[in-house]
Amino acid sequence: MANKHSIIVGIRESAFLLAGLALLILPLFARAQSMAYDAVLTNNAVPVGESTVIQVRFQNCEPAKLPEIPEIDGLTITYSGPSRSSSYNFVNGRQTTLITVVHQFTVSPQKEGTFVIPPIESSINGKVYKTQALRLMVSKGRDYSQYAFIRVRVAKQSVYVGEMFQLAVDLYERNAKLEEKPVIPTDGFIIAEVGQPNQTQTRVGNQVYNRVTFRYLARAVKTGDLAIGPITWKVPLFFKDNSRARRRNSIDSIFRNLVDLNSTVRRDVTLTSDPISLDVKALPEEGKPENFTGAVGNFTMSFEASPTEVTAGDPITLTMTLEGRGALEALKMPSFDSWREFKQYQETSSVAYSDEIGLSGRKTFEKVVIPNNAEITTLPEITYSFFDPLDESYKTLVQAPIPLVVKPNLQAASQPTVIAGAGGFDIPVNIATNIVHIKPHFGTVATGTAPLITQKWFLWAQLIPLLVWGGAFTYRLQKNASGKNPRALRKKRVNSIVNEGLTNLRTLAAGNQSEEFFALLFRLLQEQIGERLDLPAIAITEAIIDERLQEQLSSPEVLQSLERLFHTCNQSRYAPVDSPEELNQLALEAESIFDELQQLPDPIAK
Amino acid sequence: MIRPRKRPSRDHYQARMNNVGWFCYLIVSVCFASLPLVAAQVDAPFDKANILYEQGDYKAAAEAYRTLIENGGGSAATYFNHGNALYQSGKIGQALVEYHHALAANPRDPDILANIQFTREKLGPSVVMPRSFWQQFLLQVTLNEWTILTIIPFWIWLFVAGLKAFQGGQRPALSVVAKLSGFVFVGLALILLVATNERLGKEYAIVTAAEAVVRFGPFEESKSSHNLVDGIEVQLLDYKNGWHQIRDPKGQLGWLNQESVRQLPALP
Repeated sequence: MANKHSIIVGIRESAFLLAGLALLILPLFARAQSMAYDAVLTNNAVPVGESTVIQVRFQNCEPAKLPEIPEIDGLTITYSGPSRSSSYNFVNGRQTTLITVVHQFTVSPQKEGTFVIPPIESSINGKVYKTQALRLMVSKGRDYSQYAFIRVRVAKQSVYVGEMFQLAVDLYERNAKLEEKPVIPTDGFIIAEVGQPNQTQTRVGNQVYNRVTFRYLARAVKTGDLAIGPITWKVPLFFKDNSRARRRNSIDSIFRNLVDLNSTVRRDVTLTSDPISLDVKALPEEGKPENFTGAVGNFTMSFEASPTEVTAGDPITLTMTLEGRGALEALKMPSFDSWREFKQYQETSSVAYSDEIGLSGRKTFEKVVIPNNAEITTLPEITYSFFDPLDESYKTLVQAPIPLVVKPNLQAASQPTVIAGAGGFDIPVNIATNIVHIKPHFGTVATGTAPLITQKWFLWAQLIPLLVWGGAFTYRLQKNASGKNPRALRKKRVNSIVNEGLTNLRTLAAGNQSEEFFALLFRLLQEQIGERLDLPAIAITEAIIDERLQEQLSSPEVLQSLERLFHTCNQSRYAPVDSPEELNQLALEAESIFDELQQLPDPIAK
Repeated sequence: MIRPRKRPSRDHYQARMNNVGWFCYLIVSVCFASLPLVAAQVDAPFDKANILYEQGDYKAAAEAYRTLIENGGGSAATYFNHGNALYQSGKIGQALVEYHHALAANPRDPDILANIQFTREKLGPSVVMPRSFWQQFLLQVTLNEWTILTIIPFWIWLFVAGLKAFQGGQRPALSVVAKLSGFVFVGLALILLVATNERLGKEYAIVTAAEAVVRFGPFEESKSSHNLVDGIEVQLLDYKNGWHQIRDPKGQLGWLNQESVRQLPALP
């Protein structure tokens, strides 16, 4: 019972162990599976004015280049971009990976009719595959402009490159729901949304519309005649579902109006604005100051240095504030290349806007400099130039040199590098104002070895404890198996008795102890034959040998030798053998007979 | 006539052992003697680059560090100093990449961590890919450390289970230890699985162009989606013909020209 329990425990431990090992090596088995390629239309019946999407799908494969869809008269097909998804599944204990790349093409029909989009070809791993042809039904379109349209407003028609200007996109709608934001092409411009969209009601003609306005700040980064737009805005419109209403009979007409509130049909419409052209002028080269860093707008400058009485090697914080109207985020601190007698640290900056659209405000720079010697008497002059688009001219702000008292550093202490802290220095203590300085010692070369978990020798090494456990477990199983088998136990015991007895036989033969010799030989024969025949040792007689061993033994000579040995043992009681040579001869004969008996198939008992 | 082989004398063994000893001594001596030579080969250009840095010639220093790294002198200190030189030259993204290389070589160096943090803070918010609490927890410990942490209870578990099987389950204390180490191993193996996926299953890069244009597709003709500035970390999702599909810290997808980004080494 105990043995059975230990085997169950062992099996349980094995399962536990295999589960653990599976967890350990799981990361190594995430590989791609079978591939698939097809194309579908998200909606194969649309009216003119609405759009649908062709999804070209690649599962566990990728095309050599973007699939091309031929031009089809009456359809405008534009690429909308890719999307990618992946999923992992376990099938029959093995991990499978499904990576799907979908290239989407927006199809906008211009006329009604039935269109066939021919098979789309893609080259995958050097082989060309085709999708099935797609059929698109285009019905007569609706004019949605009475329900929703967009307008774009730009503050200026002509700007300088880098000049900030406002842009507003208005959605006029009667039955739309706002789900997406307008999409503005950014070629040539940096455009950022500002503030929250606001909503008002306004009348256009005889119709009242809800007007939703998104506001933007933009600046051009290229010159020339640029166009903003066409701006597109995907808007869902909701209409009463007349087909449902017609299906109702007169009985429920009382509730019709109530039910109709929920009986709407959705139409996803992409509204498009006309592009707005904008003349972007380059900044004039004439009169451009040397220190001009690209700032466009109108600014004032204030400058502070603290402290102005220091010891050589002590830090001084420079605070420069530019306040005004322009692209504050893009403003850069002027060059400090001429400040050769100062050790300089990278400046930090912050921007605070004074209006909600982010067009005006101030930008504050903080820079730490350290005078290297006591001969310095002033902080050098600071100039800052910008281009004013209203005046259409460059302007330069000047900060006069600031007197400075630098005392010699008598202790020649090392310069502080990272941490600010001395009195009068208005940066908080223990806040890093710069990067940690470079390291003086080379150290050791990085070997760039792969992680242990990916190294083969390491994974193979994990077999060592597994083998140790397996060996111990096998040993335990064998021990348990032999312990509960009485025949195996008897065989083991008899083998031990015979081996020991044969040694004793030689000793007795040498000592010419005839009586003890035959008594021992007889007992050994009984034990060995009894074990082989699965009979009690005491029951082994010459008759049993004749009856049961005759068929099993390989040759009649062996049987005869065995019978002679038995016979001699019986005779010795009456006629003892006194010659040691004879006893030795019998001992040798007995050894060969025991060998024969032990080689018989196990068991031979019937 | 075959002459019987003469049994080697004790002196013969002594002589052979002496020869082996001399050979080992020679090998060890050559190895140790070459160490200062190797050190001298990298120390001199390293110091030279450091001097350029101290003189404020950051561009020249950055070039010197780069040359040193290309010639096999890429230690944590070289990558770190290279990062500093690039930072001082205004190349924030490049500097961050070098700091990450330094971190891969020495994952627990506080100076490297401080410079990465400082540089990111300087860039402003939303410059790093957002990571959950658990992802941050997993990144606190290196992958090799997670591996060792997992393997220790694994070995204990199997050796104790083996001992228990060998002894025939006579000692209840062994059962307790085997079960405990088994459960600890399974827990840590799950963590290791996630940690491995977090490091080896995901690729990150840093924008190194002053202003990189993200496009909807992997072509110059694709429409531009938005711009990313120097130093922003992105996750690499796909690659095609010199374009990386990326996800930026705000979750926006798009394609970036490979010239605009540099891939980060796998997290240590």
